[in-house]
Amino acid sequence: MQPIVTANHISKRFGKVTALDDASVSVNRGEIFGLIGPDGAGKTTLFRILATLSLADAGEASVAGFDVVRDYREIRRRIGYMPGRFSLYTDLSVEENLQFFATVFNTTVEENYHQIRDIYVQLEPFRHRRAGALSGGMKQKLALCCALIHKPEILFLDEPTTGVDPVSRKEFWQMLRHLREEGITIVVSTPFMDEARRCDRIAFINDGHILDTDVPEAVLLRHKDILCPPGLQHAATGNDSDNIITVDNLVKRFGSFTAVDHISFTVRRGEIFGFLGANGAGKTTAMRILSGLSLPSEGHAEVMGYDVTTQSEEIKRRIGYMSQRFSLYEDLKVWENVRLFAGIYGVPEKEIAPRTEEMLREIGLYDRRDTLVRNLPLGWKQRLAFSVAIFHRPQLVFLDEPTGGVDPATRRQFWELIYRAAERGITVFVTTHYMDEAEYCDRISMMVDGRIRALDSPERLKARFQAKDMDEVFLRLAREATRQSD
Amino acid sequence: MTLRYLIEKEFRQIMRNSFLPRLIFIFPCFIMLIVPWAATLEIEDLRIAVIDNDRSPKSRRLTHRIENSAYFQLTRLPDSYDDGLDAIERDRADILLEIPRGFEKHLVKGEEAPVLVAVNTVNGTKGMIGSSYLSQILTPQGEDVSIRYRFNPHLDYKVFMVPALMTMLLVMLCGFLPALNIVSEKEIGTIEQINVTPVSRFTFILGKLLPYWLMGFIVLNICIGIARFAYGLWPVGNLLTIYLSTMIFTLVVSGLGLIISNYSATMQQAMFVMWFFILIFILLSGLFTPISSMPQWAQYITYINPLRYFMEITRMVYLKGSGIADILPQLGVMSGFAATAYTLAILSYCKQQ
Amino acid sequence: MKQFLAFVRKEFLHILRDRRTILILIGMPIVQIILFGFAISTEVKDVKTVVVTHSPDADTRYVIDRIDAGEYFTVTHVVHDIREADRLFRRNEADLAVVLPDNFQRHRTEAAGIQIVADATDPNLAIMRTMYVNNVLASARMELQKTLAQPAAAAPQGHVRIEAKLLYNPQMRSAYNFVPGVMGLILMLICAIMTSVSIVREKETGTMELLLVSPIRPMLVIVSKVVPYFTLSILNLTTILLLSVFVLDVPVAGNLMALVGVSLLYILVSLSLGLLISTLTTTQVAAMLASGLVLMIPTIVISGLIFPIESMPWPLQAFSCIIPARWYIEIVRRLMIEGVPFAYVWKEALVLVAMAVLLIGIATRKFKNRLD
Repeated sequence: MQPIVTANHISKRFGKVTALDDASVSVNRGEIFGLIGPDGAGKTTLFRILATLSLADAGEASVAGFDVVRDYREIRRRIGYMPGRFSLYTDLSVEENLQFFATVFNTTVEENYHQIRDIYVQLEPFRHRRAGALSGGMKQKLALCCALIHKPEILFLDEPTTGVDPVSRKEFWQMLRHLREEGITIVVSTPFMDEARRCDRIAFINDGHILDTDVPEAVLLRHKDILCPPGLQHAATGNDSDNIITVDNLVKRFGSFTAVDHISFTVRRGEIFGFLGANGAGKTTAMRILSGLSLPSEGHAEVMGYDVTTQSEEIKRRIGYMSQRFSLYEDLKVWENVRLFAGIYGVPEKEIAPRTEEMLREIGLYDRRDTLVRNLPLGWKQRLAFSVAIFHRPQLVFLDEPTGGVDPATRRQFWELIYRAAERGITVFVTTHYMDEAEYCDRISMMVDGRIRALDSPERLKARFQAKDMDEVFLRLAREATRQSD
Repeated sequence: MTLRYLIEKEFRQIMRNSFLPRLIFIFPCFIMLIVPWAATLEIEDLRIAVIDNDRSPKSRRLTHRIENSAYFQLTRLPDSYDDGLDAIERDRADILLEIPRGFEKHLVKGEEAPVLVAVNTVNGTKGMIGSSYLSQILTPQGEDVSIRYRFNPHLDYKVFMVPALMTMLLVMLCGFLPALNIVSEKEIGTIEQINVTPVSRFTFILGKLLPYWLMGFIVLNICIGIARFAYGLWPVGNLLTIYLSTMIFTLVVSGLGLIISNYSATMQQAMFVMWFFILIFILLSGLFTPISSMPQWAQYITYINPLRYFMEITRMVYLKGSGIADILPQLGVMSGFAATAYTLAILSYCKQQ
Repeated sequence: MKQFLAFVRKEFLHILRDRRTILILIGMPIVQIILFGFAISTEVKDVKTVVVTHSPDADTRYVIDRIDAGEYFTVTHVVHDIREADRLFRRNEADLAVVLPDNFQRHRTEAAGIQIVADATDPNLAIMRTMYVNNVLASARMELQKTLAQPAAAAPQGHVRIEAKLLYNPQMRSAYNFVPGVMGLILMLICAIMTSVSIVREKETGTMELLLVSPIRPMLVIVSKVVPYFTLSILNLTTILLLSVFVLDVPVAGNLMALVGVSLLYILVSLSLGLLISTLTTTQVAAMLASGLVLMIPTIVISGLIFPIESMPWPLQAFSCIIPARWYIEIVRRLMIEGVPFAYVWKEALVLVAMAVLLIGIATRKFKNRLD
């Protein structure tokens, strides 16, 4: 078969860092080709070179028969590209964004609506809302719609589903299959292994080298230590009688929209509590109320015996928090970040230095303590952010999608840290879109349309829904959603 | 002492920024070394065209007197008034003197001898001073009146501008940088991580304010050094008085910057709002033009302009040698502003939505 | 074409969504025109004057009344000691001191030895104030001499009488001087800063990636970004002209078409400057500071907006030649205020044309079709 995308011996350096080293791939016309690899492996650089945005230092590449250097205009007429980070206009509304991109690609929303309908129906109720006011996953869905609104010959998608809930990811992949049937070639990178399995072929890329290209099962098998690490074992923790969080009929409204709709639940001291739900189901909103960042509209919640409405500063003193957006100071060094937050939480000056050293050695960052956080790979940033969040030894830590966008091995390392924290008696309250991670929790709650639909241990939930894994449980519950989520 | 860690952090960020440390040093040097030379309203070498219709010894002597004066530069001798006007329109002359026929005759007879002076007054100051100079040459009077120029005997415009430029620099640097600070943490997202910590609003704002306070101090010292070595200017009054008032003043502008930062959603917004304020501050401070010349409504506005007071203090202490007792009213008002700005900065910073 | 319009529409939406910025962009010219037009003036008015005298006789009182009479001077203090006047200077409670000699009344017919002491921190003001007060004193003393029973028997002496004619700005309003400058400043601010920031913002937020890979020619993307700011500048230009004609009474003395034509040319220069800055910077802060410091300060200080260029030392005069605002302000001052025909300023206009061609050339050349 005739390859439509070829890259021969591509190398690219940024200063001292080698992003790509002698990388070669070829993609056949009409296939879904996956790029799998850890963060910082060089996937985005490869995408940019193929999309004619970046020039390679060495090697050559062609797309649809045109050279990426000489004939970049021809290529740009034929491709669709969705960059890795969210890049839509936050001050334009959902509808305006979509229309803009349709016009840019010389088509109309009406003409290609069928291609995006399955995902766009969820966005439709909010089509007049500004893109910047959407929740993280919803923004990603809008970006997907904007990338799929036209019918290019080749579609480049750089981690399109990061932060997207499992149901929508399934819908998204169905859309990709439709597009493939219409003859469109798709090159996609993903940190999800279930998505990798849906590709026709995948390339495994690490440290700038393409290590393997083959059908998914073969690649996953050969590199299972990184791509399919064995699951974690963990003895259930948690004290039945002692509740650290008590939520009673909590409501949060934004104007006429009810994000959190009378939820009630308790979290036990010492357990790992998974807080699951589709994008925009209200998870982040609820979490922000519990951590004192936001005030509830109605209802009552207590964290460690303190009222979230009146005693939020008392709560903040005793919790750790790691947000969806990575939020350490990128222009400070590793140890400087640790010192700053330790100082803010009142860790005694004398203890900060020895404890920092101990902590950094534990997560393997001691040798890079003088590195600017900006220059760390995402996986390490996440581990550092978590360790900083529990540095002052809080009783409770909130983690909001802590492992977005990294490969399975790195996520596993992160969960080892969570388990270690749990063993020390720290209660962990975590949201995630990875269903394998849901299985690692002691108890999980499922939020749908601002309400809690189920709350139990993973085993019992699976039994109740007669499902083989959490993925299925999630699908069953989330499909009940009546509200077109936010 | 949470404050210490916050200040440490701000300093590290400022120092690590590739641009800011350079800005803090280079910008004052640039402004202090270049602008005083440009920012001069000194009127000299006015270009004059003389139309001598009399062509008599007396009229020629008058022309000579003008030519020899330090203020004028005789550029041409047109034949007619229209030619002279044309010279002004072509921007080859600023002022026109027409000596009519019979000039000498009138004078000899002891009568009034009229002459016509036409001045380009698009620039009012220039026109006014030019015509006054000319009338002094034409009709010398008041010889028994002696004039003494106090505090700036050589009428050097740089003496007037240099202390004012210091205050302008402090407004710009200590105003803009804090205005961009909090809003940039908002844009990056780190503010969220701070909001979920137990750090109090008071401490957080103070931690943001103090680094700029110190920066203002550094900038001031650079300026004082340049003023001394490039222009030979040293405060006639006490240097400590200047330090004291600078401390209070930087708190006011940095506080204002932080308030704007708190209310802005994007850096662009913060920047434009700050621009707006700084422009009004500078124009209504008496930096370029005296407050007493403003209409009453504008004079009322200057009462709420912190720069007005600081400008007054700087010039008073620098040039007139005023002591702390002389500037107490201004210091008092500025302290009031500082307290208000800081309080508002704390109140406008919300840790919760 | 449809794509281009979609781009333009998007840019307009960006601007309209940011209420605060647009309010400032539209409000700034109004505030500036009003401030410059009314508040910024160097006229001599309400000068706080101290009279130092030892002999409060009738003549002294007459002179004090005369000084106090007009709107120029306000006698705030009458003191006996020059040191007291100095103390008032230091407290900013006096701008000018008139020191009358002892036994002033006796000096009616002879040289009196009056001393004028001016606070010369602002040299120009000091000169103007002393000239004014000198005139007041001279006429007051002339009156005093006339009231003498025996007029001084001096021989009639011929003297020159000046008929002054104030061209273009007979009321000596500072607005005449500043309106052209404000036009130069505002247009530069909006075109250069806004354009550069809005382009760099797309780089920073990552949307530039999307636009670059779209089938549209990148240059078209840039041109579409310029359109709204162009419109905004025209709007501001109109506001400024209307305000200056109807509120400040500064008429457009020359050819309006020529004025508009030159303004469009200047807008083009400013836009291409903004474009150039956007190709050289990667972050919004850098773009803002670059345009704010590298562009705005010279535009305010070395363009003739406030400070006349001919008073500057020659290196700065030479430097001012590369500042577009210098040429524009000069043209507008002469076209609009002096009302000279366009033929008198074609050379300055040609400089602007050359700048536009050069800047557009460099900006297109520097414009990157790729990310790195």
